[in-house]
Amino acid sequence: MSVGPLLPRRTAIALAAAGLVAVTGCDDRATPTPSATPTADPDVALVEKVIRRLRHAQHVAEAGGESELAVLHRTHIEALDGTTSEGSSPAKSAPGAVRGEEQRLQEYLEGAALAAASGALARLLASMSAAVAQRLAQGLG
Amino acid sequence: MSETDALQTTLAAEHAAVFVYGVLGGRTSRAATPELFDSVTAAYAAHRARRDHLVRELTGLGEDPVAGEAAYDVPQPLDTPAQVERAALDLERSCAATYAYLVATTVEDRRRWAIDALRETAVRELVFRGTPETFPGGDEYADR
Repeated sequence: MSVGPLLPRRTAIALAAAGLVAVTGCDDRATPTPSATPTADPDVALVEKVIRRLRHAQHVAEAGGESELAVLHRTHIEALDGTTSEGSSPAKSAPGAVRGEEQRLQEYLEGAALAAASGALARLLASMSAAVAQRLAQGLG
Repeated sequence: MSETDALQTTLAAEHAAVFVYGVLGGRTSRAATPELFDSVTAAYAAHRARRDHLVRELTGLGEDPVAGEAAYDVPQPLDTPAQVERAALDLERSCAATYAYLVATTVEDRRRWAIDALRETAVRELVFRGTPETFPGGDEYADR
């Protein structure tokens, strides 16, 4: 079964906000009307916040020695067209810090999926949240 | 596709899931493989509850909920616990894709319900020896 449209990458969202492209398929947003004045797309700000949140979780995972988890977050950031951070090695996380961070992230991503104006973005964020839930269920940290 | 159409599609998937889990339960021994039996039984109950919820939702919208088929194709063979687990895992992955699709086509309370269903289904995959995925219910994202 086809499961819907492809992810509207951040760049596509920005273009849509400028009225240059229309997001189609299951996306439930109205088609932008070409205009000389770009209108604000609430998903642009949402995606920026999610990327910042994922970067933080990536750092916490790296500090906790959870390299596979850090890779997951990097992959999710890239799916949102965000730039991953390759900063210096962070200080070691306290015991339980990674799990706590992942629990908060999982809930945050669900909230973001609920808030997304774009159905395709909501789907991607919900999928990311489910991926984190799988790691938590596996006994992370 | 409208929200109603998406709910109907999801209901059709749940009808199939309930049917297949009924078959899987019949191929699972409580005495020989109690953990698998419990997992299949729990999955059957979860999908039946979701099916019933979707029927109520659609009825509340004034729609006629899509009916289940008399029978569905069931994965074969199902002679070993591993084969039953594999069939259950494939079923959960299929349901995850359906719920992810429902997330995209709903808003507010129905989207919340779909998000919860996606998470629960993704976690249940692990019970049937699934491995964590990068994008549960959205495999195509991994290729981008």
